[in-house]
Amino acid sequence: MKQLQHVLFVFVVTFPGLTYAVGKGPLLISELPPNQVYTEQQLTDFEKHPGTEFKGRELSGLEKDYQLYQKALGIAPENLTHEQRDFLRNLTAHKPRAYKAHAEGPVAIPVYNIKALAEHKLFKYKVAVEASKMETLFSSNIQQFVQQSTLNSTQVAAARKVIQDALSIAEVTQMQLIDAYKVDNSNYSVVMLSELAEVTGNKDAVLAVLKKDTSDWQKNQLLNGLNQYFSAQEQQVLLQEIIEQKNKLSSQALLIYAKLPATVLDESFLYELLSDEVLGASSAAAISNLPGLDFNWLVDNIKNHSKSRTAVANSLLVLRLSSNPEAKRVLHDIVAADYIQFADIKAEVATWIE
Amino acid sequence: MDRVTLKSISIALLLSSGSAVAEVLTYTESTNSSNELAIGYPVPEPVDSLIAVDGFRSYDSLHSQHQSLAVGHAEVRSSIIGQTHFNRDIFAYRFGDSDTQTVDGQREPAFLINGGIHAREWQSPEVVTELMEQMVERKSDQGMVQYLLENTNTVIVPVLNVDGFLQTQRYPTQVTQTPGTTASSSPSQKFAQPRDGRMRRKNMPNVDEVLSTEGDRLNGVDLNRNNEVFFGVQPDNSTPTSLIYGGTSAFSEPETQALLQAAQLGPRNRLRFYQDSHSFSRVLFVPQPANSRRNAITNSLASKFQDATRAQGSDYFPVISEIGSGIPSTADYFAYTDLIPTWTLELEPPMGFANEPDGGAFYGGTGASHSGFILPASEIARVRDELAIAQLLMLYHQAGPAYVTDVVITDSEGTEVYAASWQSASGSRSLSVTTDNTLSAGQQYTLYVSFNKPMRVRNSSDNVVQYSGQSVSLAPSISLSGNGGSGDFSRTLTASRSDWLNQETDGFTFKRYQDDAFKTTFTIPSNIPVSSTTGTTNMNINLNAQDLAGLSLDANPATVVDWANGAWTNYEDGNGQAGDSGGPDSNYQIKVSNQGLTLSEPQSSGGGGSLNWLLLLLLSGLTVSRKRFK
Repeated sequence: MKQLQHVLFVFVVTFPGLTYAVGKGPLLISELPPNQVYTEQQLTDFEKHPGTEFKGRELSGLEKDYQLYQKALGIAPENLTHEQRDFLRNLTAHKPRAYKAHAEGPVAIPVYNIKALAEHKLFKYKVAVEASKMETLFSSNIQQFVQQSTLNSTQVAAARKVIQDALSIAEVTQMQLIDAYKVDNSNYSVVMLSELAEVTGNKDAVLAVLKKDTSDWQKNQLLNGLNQYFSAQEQQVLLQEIIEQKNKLSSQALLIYAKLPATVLDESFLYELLSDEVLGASSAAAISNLPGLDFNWLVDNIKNHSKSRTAVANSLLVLRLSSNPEAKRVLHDIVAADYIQFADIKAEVATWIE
Repeated sequence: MDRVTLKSISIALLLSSGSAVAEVLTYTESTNSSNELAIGYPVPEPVDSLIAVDGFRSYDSLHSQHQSLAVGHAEVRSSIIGQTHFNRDIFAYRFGDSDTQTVDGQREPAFLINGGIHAREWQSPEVVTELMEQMVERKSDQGMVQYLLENTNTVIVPVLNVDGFLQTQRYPTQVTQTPGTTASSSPSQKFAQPRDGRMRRKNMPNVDEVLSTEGDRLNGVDLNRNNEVFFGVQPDNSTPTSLIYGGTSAFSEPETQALLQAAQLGPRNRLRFYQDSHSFSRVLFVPQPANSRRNAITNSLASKFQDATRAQGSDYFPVISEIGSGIPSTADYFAYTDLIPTWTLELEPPMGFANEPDGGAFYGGTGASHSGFILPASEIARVRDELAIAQLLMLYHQAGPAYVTDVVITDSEGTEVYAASWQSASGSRSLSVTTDNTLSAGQQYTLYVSFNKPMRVRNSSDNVVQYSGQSVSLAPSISLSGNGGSGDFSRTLTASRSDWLNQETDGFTFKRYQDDAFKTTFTIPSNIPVSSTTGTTNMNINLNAQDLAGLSLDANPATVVDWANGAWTNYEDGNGQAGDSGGPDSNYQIKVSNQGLTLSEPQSSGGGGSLNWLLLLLLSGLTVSRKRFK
């Protein structure tokens, strides 16, 4: 009785009052029996020693779900026995018995997402099965391997696994793969090229990803780690090429360019971009990170291009973003000398130096 | 010095000083171990780029982009609204023209959008930044955005919890273990309640920036529990180590104080909408103070938000609170204090929807604990775009219903026969009729009507279509009504969605924003009853059109629509009653003569009266004859 009262109390104070979702909404804690809803403190206490007191009594929903989750987590998906496969398949229909409330509202969150874990394990099993077939293709028929790898998400995951598990990949095979994925138009080709780049360090694979005419997060991540693949000199050439294309990678490329060693970095390239409509602001951010700023150049740029919003705004932006203490003094001087012709920019800068 | 070296030195220093060291755990794509947890897809790391990428920009890049918008565009002004515990500036940005008046000289409404209040919710700053970027990119669109910039003031705080957000980005794949667990605990126990690093939620008072410091990782205040309304209502709100600790008192934190400062930029007494952007669950949590009109308007608005997102494939579900019940969130605060529509927007992934995987599993991941806060880099571009469409609709709606600005009628030769326009003074308008000739029944005319806001959107084929997910009557509704001395009559005129004007057509064009006007040709019906003595009658033109958010017209533009006490004021319907639904504007009276047509019989509505009309003709003929013989 005491436990029931405690559970009811927990339910009522977690989210006082009832709520409703319009139409077919998410599961709410008000729709659950109180003994399935746990507070943050109860879960913290449980997590400290979840399995020590199970023996000899009926388990709570939380304890049962924990046990199932732990069992599923411990299954290695690459080699499932029949029993394990059946066990996981049954779990894909599991209805959670332990929930917590969403932090901001009364949506019910399963404490253990057993269904998702089981589905993922089964997916990994499928991937392992496909990977063993694709391993054969990888050794015997690269073109067919490439074709298979871009069919669907299972195949691409399997192909990635083949590449990850390969002890080494001959350079000629690497080039065959790169050439094939370069001309493949599926989204998965970028995934495969990125995998190849990460596993082998092959520069051509990196270049192939960066030159793909698609919008892919892998490009940004590869740019982030460009120094793992290219020397400073090589990076300078590659980054400048990307910057001049003025595409979605150009802003990132500019910021990375500004961090290149002084021996390869051409600062004037960055300064000249301040007047560019597309990349001027990114150039300003890049310049602001340089160890030294050419304050005279910036002031002259504002004076000499006083009618260009872009040139003036971005030159001021360099000073705004820079952590160099001299930058703020220069801003003061610019305002005092009334070099800024645009009333709104003047007003904005005035708030910076207040 | 790279991050790993710095961390190693920090750990060494801490160990040597005798301080306890928390175990650092790592999220991975596919590796599980005693201190690694696979989420099933690559764990994003921040990208340095001002321009939006397929991924999550670093705070420095986001901030640089925000500052570039402010210095580069007259429509954006930045303000420092406070400093964090680490003395970092917190910024708000105002989007609008430099005055506080609408185009026709009335007081502008204001909106407040908050982002990045919970550090680990990376989706939020990106979605809010996208809204800022679109308001700049489209500032001259002669449409919705230009209308908003010229007639409203939108205040946006893209990252409120700067310290916390930086902490999550400093350790993009790492967290510390659940309180009370040890190195020998199972991975699922250790990862169950991660509290610092990538999964920090609270702000950072008395917290260093070293992940492995054990003693401070539970410190901090939940900024979405530090608000005055319902302060302390949940038991854990007063537990300092709790995830939802609300602080020592309401608004104790510099960040929540900064949010109040941001509201003042509206200014505060002009606010008509507030949204606090979070993740995850793909819902709206909608507070309900005890104000039925405010709740009805808010819930309708939330439904439109849902429709706008559902049409794009992501169904953001309104979860409506019980009236008078809530938590000390910022959304509850502004709802109860300002009586305006507010909600907590929880961005995707979804949670708790039947037949949809929860959290990270929605993207094919393992569904591991807290994976919903780690949106795959490949998804954020879509989320940004979807939410921008919905958010702009909310601002457009709360800017207020449309009203007629001008009515012009020309005859078949293009000569103006009727012209009226609403002239604005402060707080009111008056109708100025500058041309008022008599029209003739049976003749064709062109009717031109303009409004104060863009009323439609178009697709790439230039056809008028619904705004994402909305369902409004696209054609304007026009009728003529009156009483010719023989009974009331009403005639509906045909109009279609293709009557809206986004360019010049036959000498007519939009007034200020594309599709803020329409023109249609019509013929005065030949059976309009008229006075038997004058042969003319007065008629009202009744105009109605829903704006693209579904609001009907303000039927009486003489009084200026505004917002007070949770609802619209001066928003009249066709009967002149103020409420929240609007209606047809019937302020335009024209005179029509009915020569050559039969007059109506008494008490009938249309047609008839031939005897009286014959007499009129005879009388006219006699008059002419007399004149000839003078």
